[in-house]
Amino acid sequence: QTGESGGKAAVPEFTWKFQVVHNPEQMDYKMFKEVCDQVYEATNGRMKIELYPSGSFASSMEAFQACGEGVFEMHSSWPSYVKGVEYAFVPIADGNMSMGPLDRMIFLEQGGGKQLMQEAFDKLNLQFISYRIWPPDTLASRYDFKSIAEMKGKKFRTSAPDIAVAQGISAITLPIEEIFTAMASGAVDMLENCYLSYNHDLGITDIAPYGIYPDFWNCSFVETVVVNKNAWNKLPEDIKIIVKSVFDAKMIDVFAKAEITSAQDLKELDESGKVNFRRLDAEQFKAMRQDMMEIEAAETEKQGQDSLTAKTYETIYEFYRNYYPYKELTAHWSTGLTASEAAGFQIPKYHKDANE
Amino acid sequence: MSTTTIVIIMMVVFISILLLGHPLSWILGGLGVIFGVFFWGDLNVLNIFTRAVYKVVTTSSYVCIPLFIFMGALLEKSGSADKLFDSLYIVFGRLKGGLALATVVISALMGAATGIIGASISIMAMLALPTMLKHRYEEKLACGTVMAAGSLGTLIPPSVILVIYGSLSNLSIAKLFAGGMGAGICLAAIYSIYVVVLSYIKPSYGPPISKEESQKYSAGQKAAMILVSVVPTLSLILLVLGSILLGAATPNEASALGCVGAMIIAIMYKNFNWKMFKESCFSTMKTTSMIMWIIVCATMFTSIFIGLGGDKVIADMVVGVGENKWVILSVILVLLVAMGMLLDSYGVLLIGVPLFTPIVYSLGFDPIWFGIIFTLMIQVSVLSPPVAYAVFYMKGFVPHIPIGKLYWAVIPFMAMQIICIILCCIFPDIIMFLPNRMQ
Amino acid sequence: MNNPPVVISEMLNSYNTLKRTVRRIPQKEEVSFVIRKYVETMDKISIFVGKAFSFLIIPIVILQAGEALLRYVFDSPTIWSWEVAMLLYGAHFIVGAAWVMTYEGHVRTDMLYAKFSAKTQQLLELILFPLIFFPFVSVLLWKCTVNTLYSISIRETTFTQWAPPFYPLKVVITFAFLLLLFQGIAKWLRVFVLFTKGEEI
Ligand code: NA
Ligand code: NA
Repeated sequence: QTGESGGKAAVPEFTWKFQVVHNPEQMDYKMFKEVCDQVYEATNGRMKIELYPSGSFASSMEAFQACGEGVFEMHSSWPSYVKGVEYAFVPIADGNMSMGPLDRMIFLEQGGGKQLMQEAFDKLNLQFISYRIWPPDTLASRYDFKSIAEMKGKKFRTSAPDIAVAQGISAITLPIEEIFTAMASGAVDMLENCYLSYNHDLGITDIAPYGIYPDFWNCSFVETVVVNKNAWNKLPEDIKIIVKSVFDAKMIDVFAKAEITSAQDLKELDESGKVNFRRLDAEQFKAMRQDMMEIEAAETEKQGQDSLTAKTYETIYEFYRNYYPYKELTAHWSTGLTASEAAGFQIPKYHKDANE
Repeated sequence: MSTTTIVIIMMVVFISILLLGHPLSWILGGLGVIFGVFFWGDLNVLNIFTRAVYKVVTTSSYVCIPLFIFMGALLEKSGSADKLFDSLYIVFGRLKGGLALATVVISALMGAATGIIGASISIMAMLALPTMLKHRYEEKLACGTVMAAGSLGTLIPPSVILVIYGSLSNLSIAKLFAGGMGAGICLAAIYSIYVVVLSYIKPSYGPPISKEESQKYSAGQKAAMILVSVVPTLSLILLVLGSILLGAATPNEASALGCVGAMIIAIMYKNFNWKMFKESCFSTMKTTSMIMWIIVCATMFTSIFIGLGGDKVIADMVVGVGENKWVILSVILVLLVAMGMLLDSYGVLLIGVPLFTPIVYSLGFDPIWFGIIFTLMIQVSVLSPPVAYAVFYMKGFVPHIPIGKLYWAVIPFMAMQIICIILCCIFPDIIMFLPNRMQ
Repeated sequence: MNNPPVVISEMLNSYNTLKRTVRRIPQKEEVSFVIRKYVETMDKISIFVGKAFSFLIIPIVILQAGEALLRYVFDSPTIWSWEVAMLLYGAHFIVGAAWVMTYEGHVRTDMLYAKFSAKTQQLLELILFPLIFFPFVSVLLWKCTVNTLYSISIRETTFTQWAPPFYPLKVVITFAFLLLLFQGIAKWLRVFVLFTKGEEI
């Protein structure tokens, strides 16, 4: 790529290695490829970001730390992987029974979330550049559960077992390599792994005939794009602005794309009769949110009142106090209506309600 | 210095030092460090090595490796393994190559319980190999059978390789498993035919029991032998399998249940004692350490190889080989074997899947079909000299056999793997029969 | 059983004894006491540590088999069992490298190597260990030490919800590299003495 098109730098001034948590055939990987190409174009060839799939230099569990240590310059993944270094990543970027995707975005942008995120990444020598919020996970199941109560004693693979255990569900934290075999053979009865199109591609929908949408336990995962601080500080201001802007612009694009792809997959799976989806009623959420409050209090206690975790929960609760009453008051008229009522014409629905 | 030059230097230095006889693990790790320092352009790269260690010690799918080795050690040191194969030898003794055939069949069954090469080869090296050598099976045939059949586990589901392949390429793991079943059975059948036919042509390779010795045992005695010596150990193996298929256990748990079962069998045979148990623990540690350190160091080497641009050098080789889709496919398959000469299976997947799958799909090959062909190529690469992981694992069990002999031992089995791949190209249904019938 | 089974480790031991006997060269003079003492002590330590850690396989079996039982029979799985088993598996194999080195168990290709004279083999070891092995182990020891100290300082846990401490395993890994380095030095000294003075330690 040495200066074939007019005005390009012959050799990039900056070449970065960028390990993402995705694999080459996934939409997310291709999206990051586009971003890297755009940065190259926008900087006139001065900055080249080379994309590497999951696990190229370090495993998902190790990658944030490896990036902070300078093994590679840039990384994108779920910060819950480094909760062992800073627990506050859980409430900032993940949070069971917490906010939906849009609320999470407002919290990060305007509720102090971004500042907390940078404070947590400071511990790892990482600069927080951009983020995207994932669609809700689905729960894949071998049985047609109509309520949380029916799940009692059933075996559930989850990465967040506390809230499930509080409901009397037998939570199992199986590693990702084993979940497929475990589900196919019946060693587990249900699992949460990722959002719908992702599970669909892996063939989990081939072996799990029922789905609960959305999955109650994990909500609005935040994927973060970070840069090793030493590498970031070497960039001139103009390139810094380009990198941040190009990533931010794409993140909004991909947020919308993942939402719509999941909707299309839901439609396809429902129409083919391959997976039977069900939506649990809000009463179930209310009870579990109360359980979650206790878990959050216990975790704050454990991390200490001076911890970033305590500060994060206080910031989140403050956001609820300031924003939710307004949100309730000004909620769009369609809130709480059926799809058809909101649209004004008849739309078939793709899921069963709990009482059907 | 260009990336291509660096990669060529890496390959040449690696193979030279390997031939000079420095231990494999230190070469993989040491060259990783040296090439990282000189060519990465940033000393921070040295942190990659600690991360590689932490990655391997927290890869839970590897937990079954020490467990299967422990199960093998218990069966071996309690004499159960020898009882099993000795009885098989007497009962099916008139069949030339009978023990090698039994090894292939039992390996294929074990392959359905484990998906990791190091685990299956170790267990078969402990169970079947000593008996074959005792009954004067030709060393190359005996070792080759264990190495080739011991690698079947990555093809026959469940297989960690197929799970990783599915997640790397966004394919249904269920369909890959179904496809792997067909190819695995086909390959096992080819191996079976080979060991029997070879022993009939050259009876000294897989000598049958003599007529007189066979007649020493009455039909009743033989039946009793099956009941006492074959049934318990074989049931254990089937129990381990069954526990996965019945949904009672994950592969790691199944291997632990296998250890418990091996202890119970030892107690039943009244061979269980502290000395034997202690020795089993020791030999498990020695074998596991030898194998896992190769895996740790190979992980380091792979990261450095990718970071220095090794993947791009390989990609350039596919460009400009013409338009014929079978020519392009053949070139890709050859490159996969070449990569397997330097990297471990995971490295081959990590580099090969993103590079080759888009090309292969654009040529109109079926993704599931190619996934299985790819996995068959990984089987070839673990056997192909000079960097043949199956051979290295094996060497740990037979230090008295020169590695050159082990290299010769795998050649006929590599030829059969190629035959299997050609068969799968001519008759894609060998792979696609099961996946096509899923929903 | 009339014919005792061919036990792999016995084969291994007899092979090594055989190799040593063949290579034994008449002693010309006694090696300095310190080197001999160091080499012998390191062998003992590496073997002892390896043997001690080899018993970790027992809790791994109990945890994994027990978990299958708890879940399948009693419907009450744990969230920690697989993770403890995994952390133990890491500690198990990592410290074994030094023990494997005492009996030359790390696999090498002997195609050319076996054809060389004993002197050439020794010379190769004397050159290649400082070129390949020592840089590798030293770098790993250094980086693991730095990382482990940091891990202890922040009381690092794993990423799961159960979140057990991760730093004990990192301490074990660092110790494994330390042991391997000292065993590597012992091995090099052993070859050095053999090469220069023709004495077996
Ligand atoms: Na398998
Ligand atoms: Na090879």
